[in-house]
Amino acid sequence: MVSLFDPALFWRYRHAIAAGAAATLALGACSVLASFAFGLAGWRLKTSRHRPFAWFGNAYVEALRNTPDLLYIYGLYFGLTGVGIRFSAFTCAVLALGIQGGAYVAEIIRGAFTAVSNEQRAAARALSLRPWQSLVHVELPQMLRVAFPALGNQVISTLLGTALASVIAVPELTYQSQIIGDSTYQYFSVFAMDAVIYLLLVQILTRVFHLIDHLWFGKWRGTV
Amino acid sequence: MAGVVPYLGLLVKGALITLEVSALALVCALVIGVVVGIVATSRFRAAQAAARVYVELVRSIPLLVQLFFAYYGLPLMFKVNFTPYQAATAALALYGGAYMVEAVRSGIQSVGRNQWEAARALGIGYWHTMTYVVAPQAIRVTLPAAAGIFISLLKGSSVASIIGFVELLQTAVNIRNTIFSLSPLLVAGILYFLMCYGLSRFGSRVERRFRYGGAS
Amino acid sequence: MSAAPAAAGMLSVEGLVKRFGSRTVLNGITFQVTPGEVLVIIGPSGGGKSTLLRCVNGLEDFSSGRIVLDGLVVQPSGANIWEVRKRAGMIFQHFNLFPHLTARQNIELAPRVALRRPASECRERAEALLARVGLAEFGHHYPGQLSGGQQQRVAIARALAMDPKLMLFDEPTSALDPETVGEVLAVMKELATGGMTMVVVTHELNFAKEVGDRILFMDAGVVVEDGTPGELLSQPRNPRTRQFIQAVL
Repeated sequence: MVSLFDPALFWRYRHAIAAGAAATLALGACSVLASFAFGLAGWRLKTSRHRPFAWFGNAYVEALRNTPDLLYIYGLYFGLTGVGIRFSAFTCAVLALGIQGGAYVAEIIRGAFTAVSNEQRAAARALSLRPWQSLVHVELPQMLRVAFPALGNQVISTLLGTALASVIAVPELTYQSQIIGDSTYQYFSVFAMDAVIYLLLVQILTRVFHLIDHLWFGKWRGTV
Repeated sequence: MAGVVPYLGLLVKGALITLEVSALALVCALVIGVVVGIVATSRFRAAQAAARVYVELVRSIPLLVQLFFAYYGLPLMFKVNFTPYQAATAALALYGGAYMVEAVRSGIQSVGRNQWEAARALGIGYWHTMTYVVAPQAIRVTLPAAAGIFISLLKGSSVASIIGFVELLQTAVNIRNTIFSLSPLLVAGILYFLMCYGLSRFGSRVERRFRYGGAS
Repeated sequence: MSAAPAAAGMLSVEGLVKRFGSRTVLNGITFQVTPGEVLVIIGPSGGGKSTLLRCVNGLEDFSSGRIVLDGLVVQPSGANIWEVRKRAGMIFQHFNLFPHLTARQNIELAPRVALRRPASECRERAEALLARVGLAEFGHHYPGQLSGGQQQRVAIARALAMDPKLMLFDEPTSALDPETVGEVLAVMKELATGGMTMVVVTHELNFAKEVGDRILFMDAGVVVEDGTPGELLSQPRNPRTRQFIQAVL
């Protein structure tokens, strides 16, 4: 008899659930790193002084913000095998989530960069700091502070996006949940648990980000 | 590449289905957003907390999981079966609704306290103030946000393909499995882009019109 | 005081013209500053005074003219512009301290990174400079925790850490509360007495009278009048100068 809620289920399948959660975290971490890489590249392209680069950067950001994640997951998965590149499903998912997240990260970085006042740059230059010295010692720390909340949200967004990797059979949490659900028919319990675990992960991450923000940037009270 | 041409009609039809589902979900999300949003800005602590819990839940759980829960999980509770279309619309409506709540709340809060105080001093009650003073101004913030939410719903509807709902993405995948070319996915991407980008331009125009039109 | 080429002095500006699109912000500015001299520039807002200072250390480009600082020709896109900036210190109206660094770190940064001095030497020098501007106890404070006057004094220490030959002051006290103006002017006075070559854009006419060696009155991008504080402030020759002085005093 299929009951509505069966906690014993979680104990019975604890290994699969744990494996799924671990895979979700691994997938999330890799995708976040990939999105930062693509985001940095996208930002440099978009703010480049060469017209073709800037156009490409713009096109990248606009295209990815206006099309669904799933399209890229399928696209990379089907496309790469077609061209003869045999990437694992995990890699395809990381790439897809990475380029999607990258578009948003690029915009966040761009916004943070313009938020650092030109007067700060002027002060650095007046002290004879070269452009890259100014970037590293003066601008980047301030950019990071401005971008931190948005970047934190983007990390969470990417983590939630990993659930889509289940469609190409990456054994993360949602995939495991589907499998357990299909064998036990306890769909309510299984997807409730699935949801709760994501909820917990997000809550923990949010608290951690708040803590970092407070500890690291808290001392800037009253400026920027 | 050209193998996709005979299927273009199907893809456009898929796009229309995507639009339809998203629009329907948006309307529901609007209703949810306005109702819960007004409640969330009221003085009742319990209501504020409930609204916050709703928003947090939706934003902390992947849309796909919410969809699975709606399609596979809820039928067990209510002893009814949902069609993919119904489950998708419901999940998207709840998803969009949470963001609408935030949009409505921002809109209402963008109207300064002094306006409320002035209205009260003039003897205008809560609901009339809300209707004639706050809402028209709140719309300036909420409407552009709603355009953004519509875009999220258009993109989010693609997730419904996983429970068998045939919208634009699923149509493209089906065609791909027939002709083994990536071109249907490319066309689908273009169609999504046209819909979403068009909407975002519309949203910007609305936002700009509001900024120049009213004193702030 | 180092011996500079007699004709050029410390700073020489000849026929400086700067256009911003169709607007001419600076219309043929010419003046010289000798080593140890304190030149005060006064005039109504928008007269181009800030822009002039920024052209001197290459923060702004200019359309035509010639600027020579300590023997170096100033070309904003030239390779020697970094050398120019090492020799000219600049103090901004809004201090522009780096908010993510403590006062001491603000002072240490440029010597450590641009001059490549060893960190310990930079730290000692920073502590000494903080003491010199009267903020010995404030090294570990962040700019957000300091008053405007304190921030500006840190800014002066920061510029001094580079051992500049010339200091440019862009309305250093205009953004300060009246109570803190005095502490900053005191530091500037001490610098002047110590022989620093200074170009100061300011509205503080008392400072100009006490500390200035020469005053330039600038309006609408040109030098209207030029003289010693005694002459220019009490008996201005030009009617525009007279008008301005009377309005301010």
